[in-house]
Amino acid sequence: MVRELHATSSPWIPSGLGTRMHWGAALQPSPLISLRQCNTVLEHAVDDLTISVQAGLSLTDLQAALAEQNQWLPIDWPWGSHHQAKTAGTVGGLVARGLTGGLRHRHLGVRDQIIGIGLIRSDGLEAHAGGRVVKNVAGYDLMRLLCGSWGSLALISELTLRVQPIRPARALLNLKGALDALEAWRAEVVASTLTLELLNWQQDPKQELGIQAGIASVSDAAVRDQLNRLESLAETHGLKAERHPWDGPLPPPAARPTNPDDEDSQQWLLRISLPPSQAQALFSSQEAQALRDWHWNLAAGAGCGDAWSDQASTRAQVQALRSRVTALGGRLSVLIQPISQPSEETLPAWTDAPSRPLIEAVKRQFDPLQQLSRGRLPGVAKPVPIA
Amino acid sequence: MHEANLGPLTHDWAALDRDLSRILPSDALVRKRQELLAYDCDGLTIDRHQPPLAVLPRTTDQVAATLRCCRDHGVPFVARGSGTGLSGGAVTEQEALLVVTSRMRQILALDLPNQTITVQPGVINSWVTRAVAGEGFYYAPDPSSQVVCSIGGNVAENSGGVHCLKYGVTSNHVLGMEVVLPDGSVTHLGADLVECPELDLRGAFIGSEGTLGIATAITLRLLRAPERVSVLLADFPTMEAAGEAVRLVTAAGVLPAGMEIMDNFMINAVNDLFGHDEYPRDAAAVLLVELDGQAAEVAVAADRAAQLCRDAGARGVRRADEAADRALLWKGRKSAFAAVGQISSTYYVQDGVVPRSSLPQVLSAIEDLSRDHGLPVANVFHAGDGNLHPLILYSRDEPGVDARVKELGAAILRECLAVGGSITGEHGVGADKRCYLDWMFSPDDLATMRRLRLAFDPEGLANPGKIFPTPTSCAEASRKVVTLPADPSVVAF
Ligand SMILES: Cc1cc2nc3c(=O)[nH]c(=O)nc-3n(C[C@H](O)[C@H](O)[C@H](O)COP(=O)(O)OP(=O)(O)OC[C@H]3O[C@@H](n4cnc5c(N)ncnc54)[C@H](O)[C@@H]3O)c2cc1C
Repeated sequence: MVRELHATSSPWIPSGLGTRMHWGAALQPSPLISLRQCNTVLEHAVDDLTISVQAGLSLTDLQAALAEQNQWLPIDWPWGSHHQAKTAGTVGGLVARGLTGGLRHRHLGVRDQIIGIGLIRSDGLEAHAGGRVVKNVAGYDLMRLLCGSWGSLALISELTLRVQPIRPARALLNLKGALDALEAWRAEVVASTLTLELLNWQQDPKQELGIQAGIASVSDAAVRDQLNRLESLAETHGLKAERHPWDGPLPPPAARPTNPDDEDSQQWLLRISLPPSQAQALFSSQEAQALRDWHWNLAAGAGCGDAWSDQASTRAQVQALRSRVTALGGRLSVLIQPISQPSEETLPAWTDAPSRPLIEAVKRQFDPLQQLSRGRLPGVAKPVPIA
Repeated sequence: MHEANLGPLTHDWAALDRDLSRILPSDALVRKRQELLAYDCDGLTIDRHQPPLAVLPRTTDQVAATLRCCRDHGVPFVARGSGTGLSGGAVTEQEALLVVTSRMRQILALDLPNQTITVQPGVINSWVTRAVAGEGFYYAPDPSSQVVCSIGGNVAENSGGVHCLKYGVTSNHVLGMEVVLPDGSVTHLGADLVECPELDLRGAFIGSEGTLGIATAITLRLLRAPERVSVLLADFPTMEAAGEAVRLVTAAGVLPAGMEIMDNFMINAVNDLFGHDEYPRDAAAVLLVELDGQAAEVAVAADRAAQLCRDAGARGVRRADEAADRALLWKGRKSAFAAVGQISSTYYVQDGVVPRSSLPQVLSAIEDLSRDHGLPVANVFHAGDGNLHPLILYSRDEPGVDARVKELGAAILRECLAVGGSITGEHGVGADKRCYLDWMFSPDDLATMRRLRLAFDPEGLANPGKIFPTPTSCAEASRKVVTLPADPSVVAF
């Protein structure tokens, strides 16, 4: 099918379950090629802690298959998932977006879990890179190239991932207090020898800004020890700390799913990445304060996460926030924005990266006829339109 | 002026030299054959190729100007860090300018609140940790060559180390890079943030072995030094039992910082070197497990790992919690290569990877191959991630031995691939293994990888001929007689 499309230079869009096609830069309408039927586990090497899957496997099914062996993929549910349903999307989609949540505090990003990849190029050729072993430097790292490529380079068909045993003991700690005190506590914790599973700035319209810490270990005693230390540190900073059980290993998904077909939707979803010590400056900035009733969920040690709202905020407000994030040394991506009026300019999903010419050169090499996901190229604000 | 003995040169080196002299200080050009000798090979001393000319820039601007000059003259270039690579990557096999980063050794920025450091590419790996150790931080990837190898070389090879089982390899620790592209333009890959909304060209560049350009500034992630470190040393009557211990420890969720195994040959070599029996001579394998992290967790994890070793059949388990005692347990592992050097002045190090669960099977296959080829093989390896380093011992005086060593090395790699492994875990493909790359990847796979290369380097100027097999280079390699001298400076891999 892909070869036929290539022969006629026809555009198309790689997709999984299609749960998040509306995220990121608007796509020129073209046919979707969905991998939803390619959804099997190819091999779960339990003893090697690796799993090879078809990219159309749903994340829910992947985690369920791993859980049977007391293992998991340490990556948060994508924003907008209800993990009981299929709203979490596919493994391929997760990799194509390359976004992680608070678990990256200990486990790093999606890109760090991929050890092998199979892909279908725009001309229909199948290719592989990496392999099935956890350490491997043979050939170029196309795994990382494709991770976060948003369907712009190739269709991801297979993935081999490193997975982890589930640690049995865990707990959550929620902290509340003044922003300065929270930041002082955070700075001390990230520079300490404590080994947290996650550490998130969290805010929602009903709750003031706080930090959630998660601990997981092979031993209850180790969890208790960390909790005690985190709490006594909180006390010295005048913070209120509250323990919570954590069913885990995955934290619950952050928000309700959106309905992309909702014409009136005022929904915004932003992805923010900045030096972690600057989060405090961001939260206290005029631009962030102006966004009343927004939700924030930002990995406090890594400096990246989501901000969202379904209240009417203006593009100018979000643009101002983007400028603030940039001034603080970060980047802001617009993943969802309200449907624009005909007269209105949408905000570019991504701003131009310094390496834009090189990104475009890579795109030309992998997709010379510019067939894939037209309108979308991460690191390029406005991909050259194709008639 | 150009004294290097390269046979007939196709490029106009005098013209390149003249132009380079205009943009670089005079002491940045190395022309004398005597001085160029220092650059004729890397850590793999098989092939020696003296470059016609080498430059020693100090700044990004100088690197950029140099590469623009190369492009204008159509002359390829090869980047070189400390020259410790083990796959012949930093060698000018083809007529090319050598760009050495050994004068680019400045730490450009340190941001402790955000736990990052930005360095020039020539900065030595261990200097990074030294710069921040006082504050309680360190840079995790720790190749055994860390007191000599450069961060630029680490990036190019995606180097690992003993602790990469838990903490990952170079690619997991680089947040951004300034890169001079083969056309002499300067760009930035990644935004020095953990997540960056652009194609991950930083990830693609890491491990590209100098074929996509020259990294001139690298921003690294720093980690907090652990609160507690414990080391276990267990000895086993069979390699299967040692392999089973690795499996049990891994499956238990006790993620050690590192797990290393030495086989019986190596155990005896180490005992001989020490002049006393550090390890039981009849042990088939000893396993070292290092656990680190929060004190309470390490205490539990070390107990559990020790029990799992016993469950797997360990005869004895020693444990060390204090720095001096830990060093003692590590001493044998760190002396492994010196110990082999005592037995044989020449050896060849292989670098295959297998799924962890296949370790015993592949090691026994290696034993058979060693017998068939009539060459002893000593094994010391990163068991936790299945990265084997079989050392093939041989005597250079034996006629025809070089070809047999190569054959055995290749046969070992075939065993690794047969169980779904890789031809290289950390030393790279370079020149040494390019003729094996198509054992692992189809022509379509390789053609797809080449597309990345074309985007970065359409004219093929950066480290030409490396990584990818070509019919000519591989036909030549199969005919070539090689010499593989051991490097006495080798401590451990
Ligand atoms: C005793 C010993 C122990 C070793 N132990 C380990 C180990 O434990 N783990 C491990 O992974 N490796 C190990 N190695 C291999 C080697 O040290 C690593 O590959 C190291 O990263 C090479 O660094 P270098 O500065 O010496 O690079 P070089 O050998 O100078 O170059 C290696 C490659 O990098 C390219 N390059 C260099 N600088 C740049 C740059 N700035 N930009 C782009 N490309 C560049 C070169 O062109 C070449 O292809 C060991 C080697 C020795 C001799």
